[in-house]
Formats: sequence, C-alpha cells, structure tokens
Amino acid sequence: MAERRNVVNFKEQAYEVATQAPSLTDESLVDARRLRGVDYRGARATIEITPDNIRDYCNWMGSENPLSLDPSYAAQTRWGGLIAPPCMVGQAIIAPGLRGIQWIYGGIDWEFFDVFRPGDVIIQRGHLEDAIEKRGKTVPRMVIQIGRLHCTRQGGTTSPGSTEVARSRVYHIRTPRREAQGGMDYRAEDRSDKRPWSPEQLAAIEEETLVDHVRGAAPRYWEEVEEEEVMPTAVYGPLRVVEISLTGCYTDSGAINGGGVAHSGGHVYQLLNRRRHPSDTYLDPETGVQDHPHRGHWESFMAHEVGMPGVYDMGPHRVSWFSRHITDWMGDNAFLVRLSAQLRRPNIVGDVTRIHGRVANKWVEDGFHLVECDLWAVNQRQEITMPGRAVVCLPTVHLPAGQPVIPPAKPDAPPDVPYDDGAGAW
Amino acid sequence: MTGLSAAPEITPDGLREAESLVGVPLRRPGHNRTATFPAIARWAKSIGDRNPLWLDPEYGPASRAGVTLAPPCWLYSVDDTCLAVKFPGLHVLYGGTSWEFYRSVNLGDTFECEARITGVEEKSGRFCGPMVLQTGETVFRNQLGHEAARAVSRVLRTRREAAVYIGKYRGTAKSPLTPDQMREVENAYDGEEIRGPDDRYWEDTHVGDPLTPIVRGPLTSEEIVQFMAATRPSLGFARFIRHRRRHPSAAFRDPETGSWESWEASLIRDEVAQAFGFPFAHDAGIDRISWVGNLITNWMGDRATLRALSVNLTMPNVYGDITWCRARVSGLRESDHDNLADLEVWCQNQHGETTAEGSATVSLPSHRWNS
Repeated sequence: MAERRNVVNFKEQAYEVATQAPSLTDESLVDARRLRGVDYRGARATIEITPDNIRDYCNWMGSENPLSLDPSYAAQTRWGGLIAPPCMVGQAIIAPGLRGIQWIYGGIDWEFFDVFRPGDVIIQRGHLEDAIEKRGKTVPRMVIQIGRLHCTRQGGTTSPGSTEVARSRVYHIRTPRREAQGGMDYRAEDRSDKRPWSPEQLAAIEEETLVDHVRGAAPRYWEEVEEEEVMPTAVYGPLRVVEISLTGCYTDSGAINGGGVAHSGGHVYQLLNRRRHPSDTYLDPETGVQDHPHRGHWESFMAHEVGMPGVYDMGPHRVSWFSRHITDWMGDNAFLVRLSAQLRRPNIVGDVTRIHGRVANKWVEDGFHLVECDLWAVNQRQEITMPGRAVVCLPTVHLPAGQPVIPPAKPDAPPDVPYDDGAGAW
Repeated sequence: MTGLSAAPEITPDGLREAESLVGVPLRRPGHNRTATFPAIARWAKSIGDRNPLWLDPEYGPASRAGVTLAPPCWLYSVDDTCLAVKFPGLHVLYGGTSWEFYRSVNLGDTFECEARITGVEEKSGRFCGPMVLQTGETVFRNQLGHEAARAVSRVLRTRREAAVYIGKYRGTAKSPLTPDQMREVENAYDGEEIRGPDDRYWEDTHVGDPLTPIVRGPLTSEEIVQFMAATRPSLGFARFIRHRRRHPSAAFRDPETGSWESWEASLIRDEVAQAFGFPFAHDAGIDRISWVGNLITNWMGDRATLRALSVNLTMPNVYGDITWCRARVSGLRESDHDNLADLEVWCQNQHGETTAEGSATVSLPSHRWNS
C-alpha cells in the first residue's frame, strides 16, 4: 500500500490537510452550528414520483407490497392507484462543517400528511436546526446535528395546488475517525461470533425471508388491535455488500429522493462538488484518488478508517425496514402518520437483523383512530441496533370503507426533546 | 481445489443445450420503463454527461430537437442487454454491444423489450482458454410500437478457475495517480466541449478529423454505485433469493460470511474480481460503452443523430484507472436523405492500453438541407 498523502490537490484550491482524521475540540460545536437556519443545498431535491422509482425503492427495502407495485391491484384500493412508500421522501444528510469529522446517520423522525403517487412532484427543502454535544460509549465526545426537512407537493396530477406531504427531522452523529484522538474504535474481532454462517442457518433464514407479511386488502380494524399485541417478525440478512451498494438507492443518488439530488453523478459531478466542499473527500491510498468518505459502506479500508468494525449499512436503509414493516402490517386502508428510528449500533456485512414490533397504545383523537407501535431491530447477538416508534391511523368497523384516515397536519413545532439519549450507545 | 482441473468443461452437450434456447424470447429483469425526467437526468449524470439536451428541462424544448431527449445509450437502463443462458458454472462477462438507433428517445417515451439469444459459439483466448461466446439481440419498442433501437450484445461465459490459473492479469499493481495525472484529468473535465446548438455540418467534416477526447474516471466505487443505481439496481432480499435459485450462476458463497453473494460484488470488491481472473474491482462495461456514446453526442451537436455504435471491451477497466475516450472520422457517406460520418472509436487507459474499440455512424446536418 502506498504512503498516505494528505494534500488535497484540486486544481483551483490545493491545500494541505494536517490529517484526514482530526479530533473534536472545544470550538467544534460553534462550527457545527454555524449554518443553523440556512437553506441547505445538500438537502434540496426535486422528487418526481414515477412507477419506476417506486419500484427501485421497493426493491431496495425488500418490499413486494402490490399497493406500490401492481397498478391493477392498487386501482381496486381506496387510493384508486399506486401509492409511493412514505419514506421515499424526507431523507437528506444535513451535516455541515467539521471538516474531516465523519458523519454517521443517527436517526429520523417523520410526520406524514398525505399519500403521494406517480406524477406527483415533491419539492424538498431543509436546514440545520441545531447541534448538540454528547458522550458516547466508544467515543468520549461527539456532536449531533439535527436537520429539518419539509416536503411539499407541487400541483400533482391528483391534487392540484401546493400541499405539505411530509416533514422530518434527521440526526447525524459526528465522530472523529479511528486514528484521531477520541476517534470511534470498534474492533473487528468484536464481530467474530457469527462468521461464517452455516448452510443450515442460512437455509432457515432464507425461508424466513420469503415469508410474506403483507396485510393488503383485508382491513386491520382499530377495534381488533389490542395493546401489547405482538407484530410478526421480519428478517434482513445476512447483510450483503451488494445489498448496501448496488441495490440502487443510497441517499446521494437513489430512489430515496427519486434521484432528484443535484450533486449526484459520475466522477465529474463528484469533482465539482468536492471543489466546493473539499472536506467531503478522503484520499484513497491505493489509487491516490480523492473519493467520498461515505464509501466505508462498501469498502473495508474506509470502514476501518471511520472506526467501524466492518463494512456497515446505510442508516436510511435500515430505517426503510421499519417503514416496510409497519405499512405491511397496517394494510391498504390505513395511513402511516409518524415514524421514528434511532440508530444505536452498527449493522455490519454478515449481520442478521430481525425487525420486531408491538402495539404500545391506542386512542381516538379528533375522530381519528390511532395506534402507536414500538418497533425494534435486533441483530444475531441480541443487541438492539435500532429502536423506533410508529403511529398509524386505522379504519374502524363502525364507519364505511371510505372513512378518512389522514389526520390534518399539525403546526410545525420545535422538538419536545432535542435528541433521544440513544446516541450515547455509539 | 485449484487450477485447471477445477474448471468446468465446455461440452458438446452443454453447447447444444444452450443452442436450444436460440431464438426463444427471454424473461428480462428490466429497469426503467419510462423515460421520465429523473430517470434520464440521473442516468446521464451517472456517466458524467453534462449535455443540457438531456439535463436542462428548458433547453430541449427550445432546441432543434423540440423536446428533452435521453442519451442514446440510456436504453441500457431499460435493459442492460446482458443476455446469458445456461452454463451455470461459467462466469458472465460482458464483451460488447453493437447498437443501431432508429428513433430518438424522447421525454415520456415508454419501452418494451424483446430479447433473445442469437448464437452460441465456443471460443478460445488467453484469458481462460476455452470459453463460450453468447450473442444476443435486444429490440426496444416505444409506446407507438416503433422499433427505437436494436442492440446486439456479446457476452463471454468464462471459466473462473482457468482464468485464475492462467493469471493473465496476475502481477498487475495499483499505482497511485500522480498529481500531474490528476491535474490533467481535471483540465480535461473542465475543457470538455459540448457542441450543442452550433451545427456540425457534414461538408465541414473531413476524413481523419480527430474528435476532442473526453476523459472519464479515475474509476471509483462512487462512480460504479451511481451508475448501477441509475442503470440496473441489483436485486435485494427475497428477490435476490428467488433470482439466485433460478440462476445459480449469479451468486457465490462469500467465504467471509458463509452466505450467498451476487457476483456483481466484483464491481465493488477486489477479491471477488480476482476470483474470476480480473486484477481488481472493475467497471460494468456498459458504462464504458456509454462514455463513448457521450464522446460522440458531445461532438456531433443537437441536430445530428447517432445511428450506430459498436464497441468491444478489450481489457478490464479497474479502480483508479483513467479512461480517455477517443475517436476519429474514418469515412464520409452520402445517400438521398442522409449525410453520414463513420467514426473509429476507442478507449485508452493511463498506461496507453486500449480497453475498448469499435466504430460509430453519425448522421450530420448538411448544407444541402439549408438551401
């Protein structure tokens, strides 16, 4: 392996970087907060929903729900046609400043105000809301950046006029890389427990994967749901590199945001973006090429540099499994009102994740019949890698099939709690 | 088990079995069905194309085309044309495409494809000794039922164990690019010329004229991930399991995790590429062919049309490699309603090696239509 060089040598702005793995300092929080409130370019997207990018998104999260995939099936439902998986919008990396400090996706809180469908054009805008400092289990100091996203439909084919369809809050954890003082330092040997999976284990997992949990046309009535009721369990794994990298939808280019993010593209687009944001670069010691620091999602070298125990999944990918889990469970006649997830542990290539759920609470609010579910992702070591929560509005047995299930939007308000203490698990 | 003895034999029975599928319509995974703006823009950007004819929603309608177009090779995102049947023990290596384009791809067009194998032939080469060449044809029809394009693809079915044993690329090392090389690449990106509205007339074109080369790369995982996302995403979870059960040649047991993994991992991981005799993680092949398409559409301008593009991939293009796409005018032809320029095209890496070569035909505007 060639000697590591730390000169970022863009034509228009060569500069020396003392290290590609700096530490956090007392001034870091000021830097992390600098862009608060500013319309953030990296969050802007124009998302044109099409059957093709809906199918991409479903493939990516493993969903085979005909409500999103089969036009003739969807035409028979209350929605009268295909509807997009809700989590296709409202994702962005909002992690400005802190040059050389890795970002890790920490979680998301979504609120949904309408369904959206092929032909809809969703305009997404975002800004940094705040940044806070925390202590973690493996890192003495980290910064959490909280971003706010608004997704507005621009005169879609089904409902003209501009409507807010979703709002979200995204959390990014900024941790120094492994070589830095105070850097994240998961050890590879921590994961030796599971390797390799035996053919028998794999065959059983495969059969579990092939089980279809889609509720579909049979309404899940609010009255029939009981608190403490356990939802079916779904399995994802063993995680494959190709599933992370080549199933097509990672945040910067994919069907998340419908490919509508401006700075995605081939090398020249990366180059132009890095000239503007030189810190979004990490020299590959083998090729000497300035490459993206998020490639630890598929390259062992970079995963190690970041401080991860191995090639690690993309947060939005794991979160999408919650989205699939809850929408498969609630059926065609329901509406996902809120979904939140916090990432607490890495999910590494070869890991097997099971998504569990349980009904936590049910109530009626302004005539809408709501159910809250706890969701959690557990790996083969029985670690909870991601807890979360969903609120859905279900149909009731007493009202006709077409009863409204979409509660009106609540006014935009600051978060009740800035961030769940789960970040400390890192 | 190593060496040639482990390599599967290519038997007359195996060849006959594959030949029995010649002409039979194949079920294809497909990707984009409709040329929507995000599908066009995302794909064009993934090959590093910056032509406003496909990327600026206001430019196309005001141009000679009158509408936003897709780059001709965008059709790879409808069907990647990688047609391979039978031989579950042999690797699938994309060898090249001969495209004929009959109609432009306009914003909103919808496509259906028909694909079939047209030939199965045993070949031999320095890479893995005996191998099978499978030729296929993919026909692209638009929503009016018009044939928009036809792609003849060449897919090599290679013997992994033999290729590793022969080791054609053994000893290839990654050498970090020098700052001068990086600077040269940046200059070439900055200097890329897109002819656009400035018509390139047939009469002003001469045999031997070189096209201004374009550069692509240095190849990174980022570029691969972007291209695959836009062109043909891999299958995930249950879809992957079902696909693998139908097509055992699509996957291998990953020794690290013990589980099945798609051979597409060779686009990301060096050691997977090395398991079938490639030096390092590499490009998809159809991206390189699309870069050549980009070279030509940059050069020809908005009023010209690409009629044919035929490219054979001759060497792996691996991580860190720079690709210079080059062409020169090799002939000029005239018919009653066409003024054609034939081009000789090729790709060259930073070592001066030719990694792809072929030909193209462009219909250029002529002064005779202006009078």
